[in-house]
Amino acid sequence: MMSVGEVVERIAREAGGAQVEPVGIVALALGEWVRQGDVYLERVPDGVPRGARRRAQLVDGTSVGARHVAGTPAQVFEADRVGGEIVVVSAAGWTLRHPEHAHLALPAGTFRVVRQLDMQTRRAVED
Amino acid sequence: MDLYSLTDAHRARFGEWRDQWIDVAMRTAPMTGEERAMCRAAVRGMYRAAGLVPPPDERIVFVPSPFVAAFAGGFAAGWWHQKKATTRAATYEATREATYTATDAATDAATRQATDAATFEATYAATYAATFEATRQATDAATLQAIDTATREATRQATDAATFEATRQATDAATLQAIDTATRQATDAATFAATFAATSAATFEATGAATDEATRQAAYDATVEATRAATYTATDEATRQATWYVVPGLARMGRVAACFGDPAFGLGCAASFSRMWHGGNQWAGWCAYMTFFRYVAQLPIDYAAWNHYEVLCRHAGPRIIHPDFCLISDFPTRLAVDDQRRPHADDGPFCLWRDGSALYAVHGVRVPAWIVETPETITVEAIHAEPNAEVRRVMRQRFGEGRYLAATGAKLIHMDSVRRTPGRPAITRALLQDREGQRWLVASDGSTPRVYYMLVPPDAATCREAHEALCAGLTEDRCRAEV
Repeated sequence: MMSVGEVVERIAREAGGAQVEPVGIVALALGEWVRQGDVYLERVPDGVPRGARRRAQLVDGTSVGARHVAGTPAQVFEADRVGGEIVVVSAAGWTLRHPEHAHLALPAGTFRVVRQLDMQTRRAVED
Repeated sequence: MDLYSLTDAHRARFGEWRDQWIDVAMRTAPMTGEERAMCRAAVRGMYRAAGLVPPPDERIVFVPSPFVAAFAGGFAAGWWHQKKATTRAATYEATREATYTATDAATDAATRQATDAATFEATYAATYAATFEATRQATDAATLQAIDTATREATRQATDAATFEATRQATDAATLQAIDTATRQATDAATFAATFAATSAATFEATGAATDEATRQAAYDATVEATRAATYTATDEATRQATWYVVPGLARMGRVAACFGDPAFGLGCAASFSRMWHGGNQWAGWCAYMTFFRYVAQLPIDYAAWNHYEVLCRHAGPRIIHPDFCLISDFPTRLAVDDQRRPHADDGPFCLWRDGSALYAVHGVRVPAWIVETPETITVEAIHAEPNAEVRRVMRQRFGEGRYLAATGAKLIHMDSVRRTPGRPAITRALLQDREGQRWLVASDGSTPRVYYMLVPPDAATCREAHEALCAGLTEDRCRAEV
């Protein structure tokens, strides 16, 4: 049985060997999701309700640089209601970029943007 | 019937108006001479609009920070209250000259040494005329107490023995002895309050240096129980704020209060400064609202009285409004916020005034200065001793969550290895429970060198359950982890 200190050290050591090369996605079925840091993209049916078009950055981060930015031809839309989620729609393959996390190459389709919950603040995780 | 409705043209200017007033609220450039003249005129106009006689120009005082305004305003208000409540002593004529000479010199010297220049100047300007008058009533016991309090500490070194002796001779010795005892208690209460308020190590050291340690210790045992409750009540607000409000010379505020009357009363008035408080540019939100309807919607209202308030909001910081004086603070020199406009700075005060007073906050959580300035001094014991949960959270983050969990004997509940980022090696995750019963999912994400410590529901039994609890209904079996 590892001690807590050994576990934390092991996780930190693995994190130190993180790879940042872009990642390509062959396909993503409905209901499947991928993650980029604390942002999750779930493939949802085309035509889900959505709000107005918004800028391409999925999360308004607190640190320097554009975070979780949807590249063309993807379009980003506000949630259709309070408490809803941002929606990304793309007619062709697209890339979700981030200055620190590995870029994700994603297929065409519609995606629900889910942000990880920060239970300490009861809000979505800040980036 | 609606008297007014917003038009599309009005709505189109929301953003412009918002940004204009955010700039006012976030201003860091100092007030100009021209603005001070404008603000003096506005203060006079505001008092007249309220049906009050405005204070003379010399009692419209500009100060470097809200702290100076709050304390000097409190001391001055206390002094004015006592002055108006006190009748002249019968022996006024007999002792006037000797007492005046002695007390004026003593009070002046003591005050100048016991407080920083800004606070002194502000309080002095606001109360000088009254102080002058009060010193003429030198046989009054309260005045004698203030004189002795001020003289006993700082003035004793700064003034010569002849001055002290002249004061003694001008008053009754027996009375002096009785008052001396009372003064020692009052002084200790003030010193204790200031010391208590100064919770940071640096301030504590400053307090130690600024006070007579031997005297304080000797008097402490005898007076602490009697004065603790009263002192705490009188300074509660100031104390609470002082844990995150760094003020050079805070430890001397008790002495400043003593220079202008009963120190406990003066500190109590200072603690109630909010009753005289106008936010100035810090209340820009209200002005944004009011001025939108004045200038954009152009409501048919007579804004003549309001105009003074608007000028002061646009061109000055917070102020103290009192029937006999007005203190107006300058703007800070630094004001930092995060992207949600919450007070925030990781590398120093988020708000810094030109007199060195400062506020610290991390993403909107007000914290003591040392947590930001010297995070390496955070200890497990200090984290446990912190009563505020939000401050405790910030302390843990700056201490290091992993280090904290390991140091506090956290329990390992579950551990696994998963591939959760496409194209990345499997990563180790762990579910830990800390000494407070909180459970934490510890993991990296495989694409950055960071380790994340995520608070999860206390009933999470596995890493998977913990992770899914944070993902708004997503389940790990639908994760696309392979290219």
